[in-house]
Amino acid sequence: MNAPDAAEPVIAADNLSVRFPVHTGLRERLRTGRRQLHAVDGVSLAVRASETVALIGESGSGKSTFGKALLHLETAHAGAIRFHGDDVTAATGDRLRELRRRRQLVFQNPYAAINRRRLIRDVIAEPLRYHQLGRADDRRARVHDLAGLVGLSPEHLDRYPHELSGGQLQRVVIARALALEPEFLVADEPTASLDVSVGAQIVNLFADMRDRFGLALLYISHDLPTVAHLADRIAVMYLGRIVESAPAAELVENPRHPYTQVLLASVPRRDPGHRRTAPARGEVPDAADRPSGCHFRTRCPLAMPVCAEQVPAAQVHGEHMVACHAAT
Amino acid sequence: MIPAQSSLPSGPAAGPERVLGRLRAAAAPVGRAARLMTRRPAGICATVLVVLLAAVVLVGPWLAPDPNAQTAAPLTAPSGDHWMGTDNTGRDVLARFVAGARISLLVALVCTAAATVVGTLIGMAAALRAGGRFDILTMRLTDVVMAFPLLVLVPVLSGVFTQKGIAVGPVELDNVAIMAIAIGIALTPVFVRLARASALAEVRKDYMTAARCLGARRRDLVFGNLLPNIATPIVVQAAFSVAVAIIVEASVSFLGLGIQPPDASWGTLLTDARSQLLLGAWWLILFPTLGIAAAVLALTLLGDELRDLLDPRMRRTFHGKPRRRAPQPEAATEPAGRSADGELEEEIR
Repeated sequence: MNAPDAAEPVIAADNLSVRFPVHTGLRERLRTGRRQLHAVDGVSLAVRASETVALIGESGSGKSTFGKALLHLETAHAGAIRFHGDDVTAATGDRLRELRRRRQLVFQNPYAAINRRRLIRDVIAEPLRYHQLGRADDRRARVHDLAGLVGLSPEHLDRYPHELSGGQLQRVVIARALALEPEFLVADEPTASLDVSVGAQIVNLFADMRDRFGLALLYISHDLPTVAHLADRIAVMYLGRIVESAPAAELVENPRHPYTQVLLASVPRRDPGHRRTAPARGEVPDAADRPSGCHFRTRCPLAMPVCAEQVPAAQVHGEHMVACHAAT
Repeated sequence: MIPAQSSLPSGPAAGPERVLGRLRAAAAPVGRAARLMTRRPAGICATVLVVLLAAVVLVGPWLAPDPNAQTAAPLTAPSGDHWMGTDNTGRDVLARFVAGARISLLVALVCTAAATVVGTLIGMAAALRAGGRFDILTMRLTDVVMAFPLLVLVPVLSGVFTQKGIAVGPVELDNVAIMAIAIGIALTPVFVRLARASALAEVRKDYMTAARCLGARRRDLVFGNLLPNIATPIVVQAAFSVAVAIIVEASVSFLGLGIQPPDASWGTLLTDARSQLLLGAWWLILFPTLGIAAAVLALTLLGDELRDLLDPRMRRTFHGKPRRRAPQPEAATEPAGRSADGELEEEIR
């Protein structure tokens, strides 16, 4: 393993693209050829140790797909994934298993992410078994430690998944991901299927684990206030591209992309006199049939003719990146 | 940064301990299901019938006389000497019933077991390569096999094999084995279909992605995660398939195309009975028919019961370690299905 280096990203995506074939009728295929859905389109993003990067966007923006592609759970169509600087995009076999051990995922829906036929104890021990780490009694002790770490009591271990609540199950999923002592963790909307109060506890648990283990955390969400509180940097994704990214405080106080402004404006405020900016018009376009140029132009209050013709280039000011023709 | 796995020495767990543990884990749900089974009326029926049939097959031959000995007067009605009477050549029907049960049930069990294992493996392989050449080929093959009625397919297959006189190595396959192979081939497509459809639904679920992410090898994925989660419908189908196999074997043998006399099976007993029925020899047809009906009923009930009992949410509802604390500390978002448990609980009591 490389020497610890704060500046060196643990993981970095370089122009990563993921495409899915779109199944259409034969007639359409003959007329327009095979279509592809660009779920992730040239996304670059890096996460350092002990750092939390939040990826936000509406559903269908490709943020989950990007997270999975970083973990080799979706196939990257173009671009590169670097882990501690090494290009691991094409890793397979034992090399990939070794990489899997060091990068983990926490799922959106803990009910679906757990094999319902196993005891909680066996669920948490699963990764240890797959990687043949430790003997039976080592594993048992390890499972107890992990359960304590995420706030589960030992009696939960001898239950079946359906006997636990959603929040408890999400703790199980987190314990299972931490069992391998990963360096990089993707949290894919981990609170989306939980009650608000339970979700807050889980968010705090993530912050706790990140600080304790120096985790590089990619936190995928559509909940801006939570993310602003948890993350160091925020990247905003729209239809497969990152439209703006900046340090959390900077992004919230000084959003430059109209889409980010709209997202921020949609957050309820406590001030009744506050006038809300006009919300984005219309619906998110079909990801398989995105508008030309800037994908946001169909809903953008600042749209200009140039937006339909050219993909806006990334403008970088210090740590603030924005891709918009209207932003200067 | 975290020191890599410093806290855990690497290396597989001790061999025998691991094998034993796995066996125990695999047997646990079966034991639980068996215990729950004996608590419901239908379950009790199924259990009693299955135990009776097993007793007939396992112990019967030592108690009943030689099924082919022509020692008694022909066509006598059931009596103290011959509980099920005798047939037209003076053979004891009880002895032939027991011998027939052995062959009928053995053929049904063996061919279903083979069809279940082979069909499930092929079905899972097809699902993992969904849309690929192997998948398309096997699906079309199952279409072809399923297009024929069982009563046509089985005699044709057994006829083909009998003509060729197949031998596996030094073992010349007899009539009974050929029959089992024919029924086995005919039953396999159901399992291919079922396993493929169930597996297709499961492989997309998050827990399979999670297993991959956690570093599961292919065999862990398939046999540790996929198979246990598609096993329930397959086990249930297997119980029904044994019933189907019994009926198919009896029908084909009845037509004279399956098990050949003097070997006894419930089907050949019925063939013998047919010509004597007009002479009033009702006992010849009654007992084999009862045997078939009992076996089919037992297996159908068993299949129904298994469907309910293999659901993991049924576990721990009546048995297992008692909960140490009733209220759960965190917000009680009950998973769906808990209410279904409640209903079942009511039903059982």
